Amino acid sequence: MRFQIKKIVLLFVFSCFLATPLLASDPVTVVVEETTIAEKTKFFLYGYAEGVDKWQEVSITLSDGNAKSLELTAETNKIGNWGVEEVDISTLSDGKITITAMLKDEAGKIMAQTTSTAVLDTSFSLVAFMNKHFAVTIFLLMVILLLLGFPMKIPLIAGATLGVYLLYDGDLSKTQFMIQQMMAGIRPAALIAVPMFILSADIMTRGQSAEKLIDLVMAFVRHIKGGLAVSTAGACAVFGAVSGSTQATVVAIGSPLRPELQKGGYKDSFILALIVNSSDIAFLIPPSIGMIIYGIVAKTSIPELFIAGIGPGLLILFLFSIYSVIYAYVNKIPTQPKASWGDRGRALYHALWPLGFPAIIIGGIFGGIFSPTEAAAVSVAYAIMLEGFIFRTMKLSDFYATAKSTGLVTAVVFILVGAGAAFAWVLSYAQVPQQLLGMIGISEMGQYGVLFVVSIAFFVGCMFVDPIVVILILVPIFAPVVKDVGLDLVLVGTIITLQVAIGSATPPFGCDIFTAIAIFKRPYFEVVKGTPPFIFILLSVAVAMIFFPQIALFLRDVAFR
Amino acid sequence: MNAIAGKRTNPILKTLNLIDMLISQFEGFMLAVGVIAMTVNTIAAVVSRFVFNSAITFTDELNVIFIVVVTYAGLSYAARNGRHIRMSAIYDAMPAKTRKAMMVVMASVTSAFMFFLSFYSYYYIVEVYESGRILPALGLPVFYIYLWVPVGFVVTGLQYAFTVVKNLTERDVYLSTNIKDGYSDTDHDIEV
Repeated sequence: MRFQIKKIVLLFVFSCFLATPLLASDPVTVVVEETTIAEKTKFFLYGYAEGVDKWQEVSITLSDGNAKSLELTAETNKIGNWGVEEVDISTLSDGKITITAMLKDEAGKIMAQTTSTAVLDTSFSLVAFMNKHFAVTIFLLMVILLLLGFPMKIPLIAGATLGVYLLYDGDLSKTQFMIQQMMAGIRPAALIAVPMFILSADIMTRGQSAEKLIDLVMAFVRHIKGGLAVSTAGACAVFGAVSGSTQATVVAIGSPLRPELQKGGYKDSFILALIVNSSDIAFLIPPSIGMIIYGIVAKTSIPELFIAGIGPGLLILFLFSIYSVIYAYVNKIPTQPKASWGDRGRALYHALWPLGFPAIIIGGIFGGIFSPTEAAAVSVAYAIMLEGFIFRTMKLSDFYATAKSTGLVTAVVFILVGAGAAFAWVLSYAQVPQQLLGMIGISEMGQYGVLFVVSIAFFVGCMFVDPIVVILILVPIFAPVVKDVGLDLVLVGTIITLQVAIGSATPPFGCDIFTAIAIFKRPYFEVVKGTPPFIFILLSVAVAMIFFPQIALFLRDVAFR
Repeated sequence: MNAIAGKRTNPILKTLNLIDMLISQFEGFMLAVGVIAMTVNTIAAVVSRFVFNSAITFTDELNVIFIVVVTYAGLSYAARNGRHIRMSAIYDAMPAKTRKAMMVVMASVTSAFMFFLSFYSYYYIVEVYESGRILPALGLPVFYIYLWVPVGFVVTGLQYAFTVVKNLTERDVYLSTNIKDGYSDTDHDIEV
């Protein structure tokens, strides 16, 4: 009997176990695992459900704060996972979105439900946008600042700062790297040649050396048709052998010669264009500040660059002279009296001392005696000796004033060098060069193609910005490509130097034009009016150099190969 | 500068003007001395190499120091004298009132950037100081080179800030605290 009862109880318990799944199965649950909103309005939702058959429908409701809602459905898979992907939720309004997911049985009774939230933000994110268009954003910012007339250093610094901000996700403490680059930019030892050449040209211009060189050129070519104009171009070339900048040449040669040319019957628009463009010759004839900076940035031999600049410089001088002669014929400019051989002898005698400058600089570098920096130092010493002891035009206080003004010009240049280096660093860190050049497909262009692209880039750049800035920013951009197609870095450097010189004398915003406006106090239009023929000549020389590199490389090969 | 000093009798402003003038003279002095020093230094290197046949090892290191001093003393000196390389074509074409507004915006933004840079260049110096690097030939700590940098930025920032104040308080447009806008008298203080 007892066994009977035991059996019945056991059977009952056992049957209970068997029946449980049928009567009351596992509790039904639905869980939201993950919600994401991509590209502002694409909604993704993933979850799972338990205690239900497979292929069960999950109904999802999204509702925003304004009682607008969206109904979605999903289906569970074999193991209970479900999800919706790429649902456009742009009809909902911004803010908190309440997500309700529920499971219903066939009768429509809710078996389980869960809620979750997501935040919809369709507002425009500037940082995300700028990061996507990194290069465009930075260049746009710089162009705006430039056009507003900000001092040139600010567009560079602002561009670099914005770059750092975007690259490091708003972590401005990384600005330190930028400062580090600004310091590294002005550290190369070869840069010391820049203030040295500025100083020696400054001393010469204040003293009598520049005048004596002008007199010499005048004595020999004044009497030919258009002789005064030819003399001006010639004097720019001779002075260029002392000075490394176009602006110093405009001051040293343009200031004394402009009144003479006006007396000689030339139109002012021609004179101004002649002076501004002839100073380009000075930029090519060694020394040249542009070449020093190119040499440092591109890690190319500065002496070789210097020597390579002579050929194109003389070619430009020759073509300008021809144009001047033609201009004089067409406009019936009276010819100047011929200097006697006695006068010429005297002029040559007087100019002997100043002619020592080209001997020191070109001869010294050509002969491999001096490095450019040493040549610069020696030319300063020579200038001090000439003006202080031989001509006795300058007193100690004059030298102090000259040193101060040289320091000022140097500072203005070097702050740009520093800021430009920082900016170039940001660009290369963000791999902007690769993107830009990849976009125009430069790798399939071959040598001529690359040279043309390089020429155009530098020419256009200098129409707007200071040449030094352009060299600092663009040279690192093009360096890898130039290397890949196997171009001679010295040739590229010479072409770049010519292009920046042309660009800075070209309207609308070439900086030599503004130098001329400031020095001669003439309105903008008058300064640029006569430039087109000169620009044309300069550009044809540039094209000729691309197809006949020997113009630049012949002398280099004679000297160094 | 002198005109203001004469017009205003406020002792604080007078003192400020005096300090400003002293700073200006100090900057000019540093510029000239920096250039002279690097000239002497570079010439000495050449003489030593050719005459005594031995190169001076620390020439480049000294020159870096001078270059930094000249650059950052010159930065504020250039700001004080309104000597900027800038693209002024659009600015020049504007009427005086717009120019004034542009100048105020330009000077304030520039001033802000200068303070910003001085702040981070200070941190840069701290970093170089902590790294303990030493100039190999001179044996001096490397951070000495940069000591002038934050000072230069701060003084320049102040210059631009003063330019803002000056433009807001005076009738004319000022390129810097003592240079009026226009081509007639931009270079009465320094020559080109």
